[in-house]
Amino acid sequence: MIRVRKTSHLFLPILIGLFVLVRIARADGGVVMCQRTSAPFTITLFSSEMPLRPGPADLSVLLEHPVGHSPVLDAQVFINLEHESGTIIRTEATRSQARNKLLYCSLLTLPKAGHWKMMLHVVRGNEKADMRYDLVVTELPPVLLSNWTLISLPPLVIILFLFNQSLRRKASTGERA
Amino acid sequence: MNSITDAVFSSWDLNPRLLIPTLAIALLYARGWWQLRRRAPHRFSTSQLMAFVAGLITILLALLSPLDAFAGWLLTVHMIQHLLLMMVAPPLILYGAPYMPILFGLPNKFLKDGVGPFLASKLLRKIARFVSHPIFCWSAFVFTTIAWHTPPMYELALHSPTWHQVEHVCFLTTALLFWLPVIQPWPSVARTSRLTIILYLFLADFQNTALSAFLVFYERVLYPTYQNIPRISDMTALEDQAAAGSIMWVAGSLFFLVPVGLITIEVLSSRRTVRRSIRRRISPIGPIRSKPTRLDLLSIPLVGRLLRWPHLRRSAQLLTFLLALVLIIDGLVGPQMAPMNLAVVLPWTHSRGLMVIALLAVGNIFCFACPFNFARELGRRILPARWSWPRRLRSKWIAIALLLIFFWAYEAFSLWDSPSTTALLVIGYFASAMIVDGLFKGASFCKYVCPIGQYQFIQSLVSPVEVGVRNLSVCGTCQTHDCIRGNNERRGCELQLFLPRKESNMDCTFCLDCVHACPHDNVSLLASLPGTQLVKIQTSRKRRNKFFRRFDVAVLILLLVFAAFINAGGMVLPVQTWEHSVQAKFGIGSIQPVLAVVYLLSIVIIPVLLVAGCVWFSRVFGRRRENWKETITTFAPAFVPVGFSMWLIHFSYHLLNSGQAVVPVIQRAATDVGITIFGKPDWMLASMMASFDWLPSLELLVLDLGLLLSLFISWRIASRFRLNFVQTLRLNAPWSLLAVALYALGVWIIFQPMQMRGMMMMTHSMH
Repeated sequence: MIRVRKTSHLFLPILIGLFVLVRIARADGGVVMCQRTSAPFTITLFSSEMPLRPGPADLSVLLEHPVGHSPVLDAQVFINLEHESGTIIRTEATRSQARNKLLYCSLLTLPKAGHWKMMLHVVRGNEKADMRYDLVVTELPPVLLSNWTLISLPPLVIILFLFNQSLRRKASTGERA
Repeated sequence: MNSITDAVFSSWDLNPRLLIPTLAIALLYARGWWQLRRRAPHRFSTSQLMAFVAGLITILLALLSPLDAFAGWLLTVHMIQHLLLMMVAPPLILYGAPYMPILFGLPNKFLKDGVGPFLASKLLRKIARFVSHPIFCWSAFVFTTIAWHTPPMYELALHSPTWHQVEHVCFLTTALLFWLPVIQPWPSVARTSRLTIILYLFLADFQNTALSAFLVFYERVLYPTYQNIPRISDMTALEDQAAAGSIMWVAGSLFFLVPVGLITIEVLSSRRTVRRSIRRRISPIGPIRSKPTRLDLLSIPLVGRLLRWPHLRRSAQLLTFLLALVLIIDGLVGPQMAPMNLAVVLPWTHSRGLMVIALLAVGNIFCFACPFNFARELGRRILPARWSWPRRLRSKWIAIALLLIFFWAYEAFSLWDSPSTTALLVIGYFASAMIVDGLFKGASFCKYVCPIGQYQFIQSLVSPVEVGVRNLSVCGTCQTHDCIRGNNERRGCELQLFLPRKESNMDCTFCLDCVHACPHDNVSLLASLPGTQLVKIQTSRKRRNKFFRRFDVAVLILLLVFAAFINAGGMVLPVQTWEHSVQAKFGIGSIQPVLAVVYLLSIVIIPVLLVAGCVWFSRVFGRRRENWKETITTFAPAFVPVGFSMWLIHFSYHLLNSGQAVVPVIQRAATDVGITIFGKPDWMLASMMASFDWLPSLELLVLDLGLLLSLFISWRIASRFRLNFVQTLRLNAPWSLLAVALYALGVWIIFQPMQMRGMMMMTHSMH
């Protein structure tokens, strides 16, 4: 038979579990990079995180009518990126790729750091608009730093395990005594 | 609904990284709740289960729904999201009294040995008592709420996904603490009177009112982001701020004051009711009724029938045999460009990748579907097959030598780049299988010669499925032992594994002959967590498993572990550049001598020195007197998981990144023999690189898990000697350090540019 008494300490594991659960949720920290009115649209460019770094990047575009600011949802948005070294990336931003369905999103991989000339080309029937923007991609942090959560997992588990073992041995010594 | 509303309401993000852990927590709770409900039905009601699940769903709603997508655009939406995380989800979760169900949902062994010591720790109890005190709970909640609503902190969260996650974590955890004294979920005990909790809630409401009033009446936009972001509603940023403050004020107060009313009623109710409630709280829960059993694959309706089908193995072998034939023909007569030939793409990209994934998911599927079985049976028919395998050769040394030659030849002769050499290698394999089993009795080829088989035997020690007996007492009464001797209808185990004494997948080809031969239907495929076999055989109460007392098996294990890292390291650009620089420095005409020396050093000499060092340190620091062979055989099995994780990373990397390359090669091979239904070869597929952003993280996680399992097994081995804590640490330290060194090498390899050898694309970075 198990008789449970003071168990406020049981609260900690639950707290840790829920901590992990919320920690891995994707958040909504979209940052406005620039906003310009290029007739017949107001174009706002978002990035998932600033500063941008080489690797996967999430560039999103909101199109609005300049008057009334109602979102435009039936256009085509093309993104052209040109690196100072000559590397060119062409992609289309679509609403299907976006989580926020008011946005046109492009999930692309930026191969290198440096200055990228960005050209946004918007087409909606006969209406067309272009926007230029200079994108600065900063260098990647060291590999160990960018993967610190996974690298630190083994030491953390080892510390917990050794603590566990020392507690077990103490408990068994206490029982024998 | 117009298109804009439609777009807003379809902005869901069904992120598996959140859904899977949530589902895991829900299942853990449900498992524990079910066990406890059977023991104490009065205490674990269905409404508690429903409340806990509703709490988790509320968290998902806050983080995956359009609320999250638009939280950065409208403060009102953000406020609703935070109210769900702080006011709705925590009380629901706590109402489900999750502590005991989640703990009882964990595997018994892990609960007792893993979590138990922490729960019993006096220090942790003190910390937990402090953290769960109402004064701390109230202060943490109020401080967090106010701190995160200051403009610099709020802006930080809006601009950084990471800080936004931290904000959500703070809100949820402090809210759970805050609601703890209010809900008092079983089995927690009251730290203060219920009347004090009324004051506790009133004070929290006061803070909430002050903060929300500030938001409502402040005449400027508090958070600049909301002013700069495009407005998707008719509200101005200031109106949005006032509306958010109103929501916080009204809804927040409601959440504080309703419990005040309920607690007041509880306090004013009769003493008798309270006494009955207390009696319910302290009544004990009954004993565990049943012991959990291992999952039996043969008892699963459709899967069991399929596995018992007598022709299953033969059908699988026929399929792989035909593939091997196609590979040989294409390798000899097809184009000699590696990425265009089946002889390169099939074995070096697909077969190896599928093989390791199958080992992790199931077990030794390769031996089950072995294509060389036909050659073995043909050998037995046309040759005498009457001699016993020489006693002196009954070990793994031949296989070890063949594996050593193979690892060197793979680099030296660029097997991955030569269709005809690969085809000849496969022909040689068929011939060897036929000759060995044509001359000697039993499965001598599988047991003593086949290098692929030995690889499979060792790696399958981490597999989750094992052939084993359902009930040992049935074997105790068995007189015929058909599982090993066979009978008129079925042959017994060719590899002479006696089921009641079998403790691991070592030497098991998954042929299932024992399953079919057992007259008591007592042999089955039993599942457990990956790696369980290795833990079990190291802590078995029986005598140490006979395989793991053998020096040849220990050497085989260590060879395969070091080869995992050397084989993967051989394909990274810095290593290849270094090899060529050595060749240039010494003015050697060919790369072959360099490769031979590098392989001799890295796969033989350096591992021998490292293992010798570990033996020496282990014996000196651990003060043990076993001879060096015994020390090696004792600790070698601990390295299997870290080695397997590297093989898994390496082979699955090739499969995932260039798996599509097989399509044009099949199209080409079919077109060559006049079959046009597959269309013309689309060589773009062979030159394209599939991109998986998540792959390096997953690889790192796999390596982490491999290392941790290796360290755990190594510790269990050292603990067997019943030394004190420090001595166990000392004995184990050198072996653990070696595992960590291999892990560090693996991390380095993962983040190097890879040479996609044998493929149309050449260099790619895993990172």
